Amino acid sequence: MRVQNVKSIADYAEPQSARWGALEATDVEMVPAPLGLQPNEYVQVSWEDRPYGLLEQASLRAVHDGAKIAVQLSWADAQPSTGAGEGFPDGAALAFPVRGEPELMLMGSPEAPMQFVQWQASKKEARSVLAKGIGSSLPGAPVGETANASWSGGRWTVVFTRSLAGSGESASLVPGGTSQIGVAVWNGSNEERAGIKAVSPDWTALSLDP
Amino acid sequence: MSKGVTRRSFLKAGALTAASLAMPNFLARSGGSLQALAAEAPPDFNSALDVYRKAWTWDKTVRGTHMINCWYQAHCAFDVYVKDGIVFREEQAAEYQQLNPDVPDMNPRGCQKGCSFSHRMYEHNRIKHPMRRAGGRGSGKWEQVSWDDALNAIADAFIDTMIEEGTDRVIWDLGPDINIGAANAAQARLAQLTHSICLDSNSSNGDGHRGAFETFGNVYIERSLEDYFYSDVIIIWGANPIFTSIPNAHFFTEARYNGTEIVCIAPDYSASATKADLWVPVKPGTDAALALAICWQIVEGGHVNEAFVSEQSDLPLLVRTDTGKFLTEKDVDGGLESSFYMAASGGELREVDRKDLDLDGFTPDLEAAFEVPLEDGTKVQVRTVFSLLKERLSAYTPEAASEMCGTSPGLIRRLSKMVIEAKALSNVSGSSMNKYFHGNLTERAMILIWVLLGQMGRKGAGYSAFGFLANDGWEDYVSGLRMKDRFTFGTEIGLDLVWDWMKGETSEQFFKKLSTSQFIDPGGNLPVWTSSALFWHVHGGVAELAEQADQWVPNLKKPVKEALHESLEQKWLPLQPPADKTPRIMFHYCSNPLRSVRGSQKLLEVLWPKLKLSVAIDFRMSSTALQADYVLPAAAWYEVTDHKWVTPLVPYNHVTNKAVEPLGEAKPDFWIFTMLAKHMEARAKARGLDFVESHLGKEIRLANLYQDMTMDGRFGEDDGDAAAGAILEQSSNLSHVSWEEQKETGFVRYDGIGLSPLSIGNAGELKEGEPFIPLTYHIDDKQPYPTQTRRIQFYLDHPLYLEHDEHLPRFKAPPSIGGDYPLTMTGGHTRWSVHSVWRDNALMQRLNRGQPYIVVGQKDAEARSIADGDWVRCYNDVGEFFVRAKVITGAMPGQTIMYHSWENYQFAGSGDARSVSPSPINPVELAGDHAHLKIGMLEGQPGCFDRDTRIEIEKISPEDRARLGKG
Amino acid sequence: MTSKRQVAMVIDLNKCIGCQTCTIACKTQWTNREGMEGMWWNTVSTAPGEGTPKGWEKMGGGFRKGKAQPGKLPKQGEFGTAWNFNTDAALFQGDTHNTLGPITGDPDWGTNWDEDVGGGEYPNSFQFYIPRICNHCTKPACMEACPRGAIFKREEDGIVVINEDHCRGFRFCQEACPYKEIYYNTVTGVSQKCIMCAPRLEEGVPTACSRQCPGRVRFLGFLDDEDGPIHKLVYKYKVALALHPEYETEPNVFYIPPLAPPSFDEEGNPIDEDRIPLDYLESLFGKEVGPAVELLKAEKAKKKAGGESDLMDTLIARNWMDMFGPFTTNPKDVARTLEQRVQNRQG
Repeated sequence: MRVQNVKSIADYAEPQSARWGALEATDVEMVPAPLGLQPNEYVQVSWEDRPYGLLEQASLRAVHDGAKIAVQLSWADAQPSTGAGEGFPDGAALAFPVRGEPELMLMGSPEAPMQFVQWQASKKEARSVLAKGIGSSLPGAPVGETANASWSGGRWTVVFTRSLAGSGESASLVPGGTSQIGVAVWNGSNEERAGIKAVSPDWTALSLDP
Repeated sequence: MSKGVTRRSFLKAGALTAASLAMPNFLARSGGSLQALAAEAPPDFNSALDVYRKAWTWDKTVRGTHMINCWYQAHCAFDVYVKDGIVFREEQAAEYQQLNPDVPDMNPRGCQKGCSFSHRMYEHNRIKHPMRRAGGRGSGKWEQVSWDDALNAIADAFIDTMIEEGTDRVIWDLGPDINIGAANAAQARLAQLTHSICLDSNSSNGDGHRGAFETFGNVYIERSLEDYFYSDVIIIWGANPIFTSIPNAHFFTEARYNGTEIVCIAPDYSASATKADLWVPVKPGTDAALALAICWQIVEGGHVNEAFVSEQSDLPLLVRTDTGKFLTEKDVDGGLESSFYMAASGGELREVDRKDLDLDGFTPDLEAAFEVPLEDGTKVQVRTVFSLLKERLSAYTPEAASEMCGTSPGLIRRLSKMVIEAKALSNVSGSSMNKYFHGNLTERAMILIWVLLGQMGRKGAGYSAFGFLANDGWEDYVSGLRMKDRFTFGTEIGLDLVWDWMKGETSEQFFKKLSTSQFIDPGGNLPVWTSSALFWHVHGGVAELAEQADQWVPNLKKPVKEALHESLEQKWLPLQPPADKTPRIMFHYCSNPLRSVRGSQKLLEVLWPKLKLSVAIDFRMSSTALQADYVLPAAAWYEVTDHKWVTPLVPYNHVTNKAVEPLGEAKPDFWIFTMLAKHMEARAKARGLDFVESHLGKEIRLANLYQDMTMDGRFGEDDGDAAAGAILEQSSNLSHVSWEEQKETGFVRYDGIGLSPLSIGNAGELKEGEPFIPLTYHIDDKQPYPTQTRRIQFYLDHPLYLEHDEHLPRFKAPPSIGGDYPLTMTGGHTRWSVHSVWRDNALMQRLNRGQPYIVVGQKDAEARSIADGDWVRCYNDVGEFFVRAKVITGAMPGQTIMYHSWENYQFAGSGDARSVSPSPINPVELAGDHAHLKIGMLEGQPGCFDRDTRIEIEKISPEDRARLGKG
Repeated sequence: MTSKRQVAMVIDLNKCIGCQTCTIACKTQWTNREGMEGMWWNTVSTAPGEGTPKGWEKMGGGFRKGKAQPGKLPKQGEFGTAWNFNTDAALFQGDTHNTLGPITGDPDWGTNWDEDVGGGEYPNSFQFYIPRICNHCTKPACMEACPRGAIFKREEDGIVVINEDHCRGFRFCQEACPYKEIYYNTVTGVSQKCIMCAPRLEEGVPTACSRQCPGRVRFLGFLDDEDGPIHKLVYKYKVALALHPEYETEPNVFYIPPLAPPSFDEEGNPIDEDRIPLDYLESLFGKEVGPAVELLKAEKAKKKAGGESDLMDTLIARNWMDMFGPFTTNPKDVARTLEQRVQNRQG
């Protein structure tokens, strides 16, 4: 997926901005995170007869301005869930490899960690998360992450931003370089949380314009 | 897919790993395969608790307690935890010493209500400022006023009323929470100095224990909790201690483990019944039949303790069969009317010794029946009380009694056998029986069991009635610390005392006389009291509700109102102010009559319009405060230093210490009353007024009121702590430990019952290491009882009792109060509040149902298509109210239970739980002009009855419920 | 890793009077903070009844033959909503039509809604109170279910703790706990539950629910303390039983089963049939409950006949302090600040 260099990503802050419409979208195939990879028996047995991760496709667009990257992620969700009160929130995350070749489905490993920028409909702030395997996620190094979400017409559209440069154990993106991106989506109204989610099984290659 | 793995093969691989992933975390964490997947152990887990560790830190702890009347369960020493000037929690001190190794210690006294007073005191209904009504009474609209403005306005009205209409038009409506400490002493001193009237609320509370009063001439009979461990049969009867004696309850559950048989007699399978070895269901209000059936089993089986009844009771006394009166010396030889006879076998008369119960080896003939020549030359047939009683008891065979009370004959026999075979028989007293119209008869019948068996005055054996244990320095303080002067030789009372002593009267009788005098003219330095039941009936208009009483109560000899009128006319019972004088000012202090008085709807209709001023002094908004003209914010119990009376069950004086400053502008009660005196003095001086004459013809020194109030400045408005100490220093039973030390420890064991009329009747000694056993002064030391016959008295030859055929214990069917309706509305104190103090507390509500409810049995609910939680209308001829139904399995068919003390403002729509209970006065309770049936502090007054209330209930529609509004 | 020692509790249902002082003690101690209003880490329910959360015994979780069982996620309403009241409006603002009541309208469930409702049919009604806290299980289903590993069992005393800093509010623990003893804080977004008063135990003070219980219902101590009452009641006399042992989490809270007065025949005469049906007790405590009840009755009879019974004396606990094993410190004597407590431990 090409990441165009634009003047300022601030112009792309609004999820519904017409500027996004001018860019070509990359569709990403989504599958349920495998039951067998759920971190414990309880999660497995409680979801073995329960459908989840039914989202089949998400749509990505991205731009950068030399300092920050903005990614628009959009997917269909007929019933948005903000997670107010006892509800589970809708959520989405974009993953980037930190080093090595992390296995996206296995949430990376100690040798090959990965970093997320995560958004939840229940929270104002996006957050950076570091994962070195299933069930291991911890607060990640700050990368100036933000998320701005909007739901309309049966779709969530979320604009994630982060700095290109990483700090500490985080993924660095370089203008003119390449990287990878993975996607996870949680459908809150189906009580999806933790490993119960839709994921892109494969990394999607990123190619940043210089 | 990365690394050339196809998705299909990846998912398969995922499934394969599931087996290892299935290993539970608690094993996996110790080296399972998940460990390999997890990046690293989560950080320093134990610090996860730091937030909780921090939550449990504080600036200081202060010893405290709750100045509330939770009666049988009072009191409990607490540590109050303070942080940042706020009480954030409290926890029981739990430092009571074990009395001896046989018995459990009392720790950790407390209950859910006491353990959350910190929550209550900061809740929304806390009154924080003096307030003046800004709309009509009860409009709920208020304006804040300064203390100065409030006290000046009240002082002016007080003075105006005294001048214009009399001092007895000012009424101190005192509720059950008065503490007999400094707070209440200031109120009483102001009442005494102004000759205004104090209401004795015990009568309208329905706590009179009339049967004990009729039998012992005294209601104050209670043991210490430890004594239950020496009982082998404990009967819970007319009580529900699992609800109402929470800190005491372990003595019963533990005695049960110790081999004691616990019996619970109650219509419903109550919380207390669940802890019993035998539950005896009985129809509401019919317990007398059951008790008399037991008595008949005792008599018929030859189990009467003849030595005991001969020495201690009136059973050997002779009664004239022509008049039904006791045979007196006056009849026989023109001597004293107060001198009675027993008979030796063979019919020889023997005069009863009024000064000593000891029979000196004499054995009276309990069954004597013979002819006695009288002074006037005629002859009269006489019989013993015992023989009359025996004849009456024969009507209560188990089969006959079963017809009356619904308890099966087999169960009556089993219970009787248990009672008869008991080595040490005790009861757990509550205050249920005196809330039945014929509760006095029930209690007399119950006491008869204990007396016939001689199960009294020993460890573990005895009948408990009304618990009260107080310091005896309070009255001294109220009198201006001049009580001792009053007993000195040469004074009026001093002479009286000497005269009584010469007559062989006991100090118990003397102090009871003093207590009676306070209802008429205390003749000096004590306040004037009046019976609250009489007050509400006459001045409050409650009597009007009972005009149909002759339809409800079978065999009334005359209409209740007429009987009431007769008693007042004849001055059998004193009423202040008299019926033709109108009360004008009421101070509601520790009191909430608009909630508590049965038929309280009449008070608003009849009494309130007559009031020029209604002042509520409270820390929370009560139903009564809501209808007041002024509301004065009182300090809560952690904001003041003072002490509080208890009962012999827990014979420890309890102290609360000021832990934090009063919230808002709240002030200690002591300050409020003293400042009112100060403002009255100032306003009187400003008018050039030196004194007014009281209704008793005494001079009220208005221009010196503050000076007198403070005992010449010794106890100013900020000296409540010192006043509380002075009270204890003057007490014969609490001065063995200094006030400073008592404040430190928070509790101290009484070393005697003292001389207070509220305690002296316990007539026993508090010995170190021994449980307290009441009445041993009578039973061991042979001192006479304060009754007409100087003995435990079952025969009452008062004309009213003879007229109503109540001269001996008997069963009378419960009346249908409120009309002919199928359900009896019984009641009981709730687990969830003490009076109304916690009724609207959010924590208690959340552990309850959040709204008032009436308890209904399954079958009665089904018959009316009522499901649990439905809204119902409860009604009878007198009124109606709306609540939700709580359907339980343990209520007796025909029984509903309306637990105590919901505030009126918690009922949706008009009407509240009191609206259906007219509470007619029982005519025999209007007796006076008698050797022992006469008024005294907390006793000898007519009761209030709501447990025979009959109602019907019906489900209401959702539309009707919506019309009731919120609540 | 299994814990080296296990703190355990024995709750005597014959002494429990349903007063909820434990519930309140816990509330004022731990759950009086934001988002915790509706939490009752300690509950007392009337049995039979729906309990708290409503119908929890039908919500699944725990293990069967070692395999984790799916559970239902309990809702706040099932635990009971913390109603707020219109006190200001009704009492101070002149809103006289609306009397004081829950702002949210007529409630239809609360944490103690079934209080004293009971079972059976009058006069053979039956009921007893059953207090519950987190069982601090030897095999905690909650800990197994947490994908974050945010729940741990302390090595020194076996207390099961949620690390709230690590918790993400996924609530698998709530589902998996067969006792439904975990709550979700909607304000902080984390799951919270009984911490067995760990901060108190660390200072030698009994748990609030134990020490503040006026019924003297709760014995506390280490399970392996052979001189303590817990060991005696659980292992020697076998009268203290786990609730729902079939959930296989191996709870460390045990119960002395309830006795009751005799039931009645058709004529209302007492008969020797247990008022509380044995099969009901077995449904709670398993097959061992019958012999436990019989032993309690036999030992009480011994006492009644004037004999000695170590079991009865243990349950009576004449000296209250004997109930709490090593935890005998009065809380008021604990250092007031954390800093001082840390210093005391170091020095």
